[in-house]
Amino acid sequence: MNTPYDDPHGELLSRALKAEAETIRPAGDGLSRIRDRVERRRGRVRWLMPVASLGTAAALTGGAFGAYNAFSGDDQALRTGRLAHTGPAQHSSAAPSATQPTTPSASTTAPSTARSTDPATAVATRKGEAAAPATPVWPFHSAAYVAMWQQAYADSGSQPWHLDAGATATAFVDSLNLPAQDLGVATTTPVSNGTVDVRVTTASTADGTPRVFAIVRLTRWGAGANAPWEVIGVTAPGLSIDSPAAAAAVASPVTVRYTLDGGVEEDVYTSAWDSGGRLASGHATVGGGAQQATLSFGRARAAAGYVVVADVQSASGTATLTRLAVTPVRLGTSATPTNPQGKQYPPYFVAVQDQRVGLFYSKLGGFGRWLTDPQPGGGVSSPQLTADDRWVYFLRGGGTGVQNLMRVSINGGAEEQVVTDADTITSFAVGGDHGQFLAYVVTKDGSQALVWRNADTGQGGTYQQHSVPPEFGRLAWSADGQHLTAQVRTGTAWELRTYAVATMSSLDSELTTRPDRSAPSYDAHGNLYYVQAIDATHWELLQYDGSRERHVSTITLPEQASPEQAAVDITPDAYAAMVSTPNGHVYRVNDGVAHLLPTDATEASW
Amino acid sequence: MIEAVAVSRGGRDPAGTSWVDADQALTALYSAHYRHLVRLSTFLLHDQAAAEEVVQDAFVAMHGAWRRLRDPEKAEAYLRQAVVNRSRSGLRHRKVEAKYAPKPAPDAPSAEYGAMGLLERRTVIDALRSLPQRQREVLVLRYYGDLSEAQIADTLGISQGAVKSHASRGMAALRSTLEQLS
Repeated sequence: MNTPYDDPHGELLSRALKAEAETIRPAGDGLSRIRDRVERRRGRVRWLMPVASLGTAAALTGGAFGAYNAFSGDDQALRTGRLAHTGPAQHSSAAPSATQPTTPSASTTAPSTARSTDPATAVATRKGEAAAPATPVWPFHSAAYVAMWQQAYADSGSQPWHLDAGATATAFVDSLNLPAQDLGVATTTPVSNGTVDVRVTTASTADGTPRVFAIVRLTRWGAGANAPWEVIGVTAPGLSIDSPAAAAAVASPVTVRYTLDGGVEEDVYTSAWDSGGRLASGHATVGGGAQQATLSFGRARAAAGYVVVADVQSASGTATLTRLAVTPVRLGTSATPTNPQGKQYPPYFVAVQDQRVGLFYSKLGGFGRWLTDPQPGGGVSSPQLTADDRWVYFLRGGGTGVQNLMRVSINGGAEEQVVTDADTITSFAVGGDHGQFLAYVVTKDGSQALVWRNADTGQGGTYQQHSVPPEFGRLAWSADGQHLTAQVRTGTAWELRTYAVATMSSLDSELTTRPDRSAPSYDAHGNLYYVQAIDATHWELLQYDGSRERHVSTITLPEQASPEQAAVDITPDAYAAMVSTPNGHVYRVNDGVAHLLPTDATEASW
Repeated sequence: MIEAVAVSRGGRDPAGTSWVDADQALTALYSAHYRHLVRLSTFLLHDQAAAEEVVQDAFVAMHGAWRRLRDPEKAEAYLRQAVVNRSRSGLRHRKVEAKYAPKPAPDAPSAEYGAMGLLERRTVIDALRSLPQRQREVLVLRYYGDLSEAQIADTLGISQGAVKSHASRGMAALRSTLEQLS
């Protein structure tokens, strides 16, 4: 039976497995071998059965069948898998651990949310209710995520392992993709109010007994009974990370200094991670003492990251993790991006097709899966993925002139209405590393107003120009949330205007003297990208760095189209752009080439 | 656990009848499931010859247990459980010398599943091998076997919550590998 894939990479994994499976061709004599063995067993049973009991039900039950079971000890074992002892206790994923402190963490108070300056706006604000741990490592990296899980847990009991410190600790080690089999928990020791140390074990290859290889420190994030556990660091006896220090600000390349006690030939794996995954990794075979490794990486998607040092030993050809240390760091995003692994664009994009939001593969534009259900009378537009790939925001039309701002999890599920007090949203943009910046255009009192909000801080504002009310088109956030660029029209031509969000005043820029530019999009360094028509079938993709405009690429269209309704989405490192035309063409632009994707989707964004 | 078996249904049940039923069941189930189960076991064991033995073991045992299974769907679930349990490294022991070497199929990418080349498939298979056993089992049962969470939970004897959590951790571990492919 087909199961809906709830992981965007599930289809890739499935394709790989099924393609590989086709190369596995069993030899043709399986059935005859099975029959041979069945006959041999049958022979034994018949030999055991007293002739007189043939045909007697009771004798068959106790005799033949009983005798048969005695010979097929494998039968029961096969079913229950209990041929060998199961090894160290598997981490549980159910009820909260009994060792969790029951008093709320003293460090969490709930600061009241700063309400919006515009009382008419009732955007679902993520409350800053949980004072975040100073050094969050995994799995949550902002209060917004904690709140999202808590909501999902309250609604449907989703992922209860977050309430179990041991399960969270072992799941964290799992996520590092290190050679550690059969993870278990030796002890969970409270350290202070709301913080525990979990000693994690893995089965030693020598004799199968569990060995402690790390002490994972966790703290509860938030108050109340369903405050999840968050890893804040990992230490190990005999392995210390000397630099970077916890919560230090680092930028690529990072030099990791660590000290190993003892050890003759240790395989040491070092890596740097952010919330999006592993950024860089290195490996060296070292002896004991002070060592160092250098890690270089390209774009970091979030400021919170961590550095991992893992000491692996090989015994009789099998590698086992023996010591693990993890230190949280703050990753710099101001360095010029380099991508030593080779430049990449995101593997999938969201777009509209058949009145639904779908997920598509960036390489060839192939369809992945639907994220929204078809709804009669309601079309969707402008899908945008948050930078952490967790949510897709989009507009849904409802009736005459009604358009609501909605969002849906990348894993599917029910759509949520994001703005509940306005039905006439014509354009929006979501920005920031986890979608904390939101801006949208509503019609109020006959003219359009630009509303913006920072979900983390609760700050927000409205910009409305009454004298010569402009019409707003596409919007784009700068990475730091300080600037908002809007496509604006007061007369006949669209132009781009950049606003400083703190004051909501528009910046004087050369840009405003150049009309006919549309579809703004920012990279991670404050450079703005947009398109301009050269002629009816050629567009130019341009970049503006605050003082100068530069040509990036020329896009040749198969038919005439106007860029006024186009959409451009640039990757944070400015390596690639997704350009969508209003008549349904999608281009992936990278290395100076605009690749027309063979897809029916429109309004694509990464 | 020994289940009580109701052999008699109000009449004599000659010793021969149940074996004939079992024989027929075996043949039918072999045609339907053998190849798929060998592939499943190969993903878990990485040794096709050993996988064939494991699956043959399972069929032999299923034949012996046919009296209490008596139902193709139960038998299929039984076979799957037996194959997965038996496919944990260290549990298998060679009973029969392999007298044949399984011939690998020619290396053409399967058109049906898209042009995923050999190198890319190998990368995924290798990454799968590095996962902890439970995660590998859950991912293979889900993404090769197309089983539901309930079926996976039943096959492995764990809760559905545990299935979800193994699946999400496994996919998180594979994510960087899979992202490079698309």
